[in-house]
Amino acid sequence: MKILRYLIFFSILSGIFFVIYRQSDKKGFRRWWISLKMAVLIAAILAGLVSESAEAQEFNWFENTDQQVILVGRDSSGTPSNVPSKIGQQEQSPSNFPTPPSGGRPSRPATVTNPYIYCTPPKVVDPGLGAGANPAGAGGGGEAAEFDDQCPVPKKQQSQESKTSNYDYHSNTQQNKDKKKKRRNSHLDRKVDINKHTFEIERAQVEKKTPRHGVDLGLNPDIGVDGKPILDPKTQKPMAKGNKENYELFADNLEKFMKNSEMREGYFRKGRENQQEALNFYDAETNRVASFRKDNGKLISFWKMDKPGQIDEFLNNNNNVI
Amino acid sequence: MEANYLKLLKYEKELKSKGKVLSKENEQDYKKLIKYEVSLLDHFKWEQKDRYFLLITNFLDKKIDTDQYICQLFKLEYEIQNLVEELKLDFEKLKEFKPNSVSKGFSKLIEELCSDCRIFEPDPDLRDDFEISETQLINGVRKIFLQIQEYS
Repeated sequence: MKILRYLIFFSILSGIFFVIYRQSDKKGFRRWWISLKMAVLIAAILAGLVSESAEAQEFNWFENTDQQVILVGRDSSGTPSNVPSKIGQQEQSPSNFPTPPSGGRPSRPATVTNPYIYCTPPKVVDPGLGAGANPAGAGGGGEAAEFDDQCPVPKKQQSQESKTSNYDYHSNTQQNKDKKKKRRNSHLDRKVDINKHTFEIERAQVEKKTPRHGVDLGLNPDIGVDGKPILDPKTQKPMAKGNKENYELFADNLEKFMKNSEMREGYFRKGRENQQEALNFYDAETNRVASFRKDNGKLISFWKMDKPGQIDEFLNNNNNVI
Repeated sequence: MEANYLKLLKYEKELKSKGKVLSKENEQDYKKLIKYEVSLLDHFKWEQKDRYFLLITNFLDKKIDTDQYICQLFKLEYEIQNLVEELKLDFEKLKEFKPNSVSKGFSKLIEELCSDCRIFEPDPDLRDDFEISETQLINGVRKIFLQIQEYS
């Protein structure tokens, strides 16, 4: 009986060995050795020469942690257990594995480093601005190279930069996420009827506009760790937090704003790239304006005009230059 | 500056103290006031035209990237806006101040640069059809740069 088992063992061994050898990504002797070890184990188990309980222990034959074969189990609720979120990252505890929210996709664990946040290397700028003309006070009278450390890299651009790498799994995932997010939230789009026109406040647009223009629509400014409002690096205006509550509030307040302001037919960036015929809602008291596309009634943007040039163009030519 | 501007400025302050706003009370007067302020901005920005030239040249020559260009442009804008606001508080200085007529229209060109930056969306997946790409932004800068050069 034992001889028969050994015969079965060797026949299975040779078959499995060649299968594993072909699939292996290793080179030379290592490829041969690992294939043999794996094949011996599997064949031995199948031939009944080794008890199955040894399987889990013996499976960990690879030398590096990032080559471990991880057995995924599921608990009673169907949640994956004992799976590290980053293979090869030894310090990660199994609890870091993202747990799926009910009815949604698993969220990224907060402990994992955000791959989109990184700094671009400083670039040398022509120091011709001169000491007096250098708002950051950097540079030595126009001789030293200036790096404007007050100009952080906006997130928008970071996502663009991350795309420039040959292949970036995380950035592609983010893009797919954004696309899906756009689709997923489309049920939150809302329609507003004013003066026989139907306007559409798309959720995607609301999410885009809330951080930069939310405070002008009555949202609370986002407070930084220093206890001060977080300022928009572009406009130096306080920014609002981009979260579900604020998106809802932004849309609610925008709807109220539209109903309480004057509608003017005009343009959005007339004479410029991608100009649009627009219906602009204007509040003279606060110089706030919301622009909607004339052809389909979709929201373009909302903001507060604070530059004389913007106001002048709007009041005289009904043109919203943003 | 013209006496009318100072008069309007005082009137605006007066209304403000009463909790009213000129733009709502009298749009025509407000338009005039804004026109004067545009001429102030024309002058101040025109005075800094070399800095704008340098910034644009650095950007077009790829010495700085898009983010740095946008950030530095807005910083310059903010700085000049503050200068104007400071001047508006000093009525004596403002009385004596005369904007250079050569500067007329300069701030509008700079405003167009800023407008392009505001609707710039680098990610094609997120870009709406009223927003612009990096190529469109660069083309816009080139176009305006030619117009700005006429002020030198």
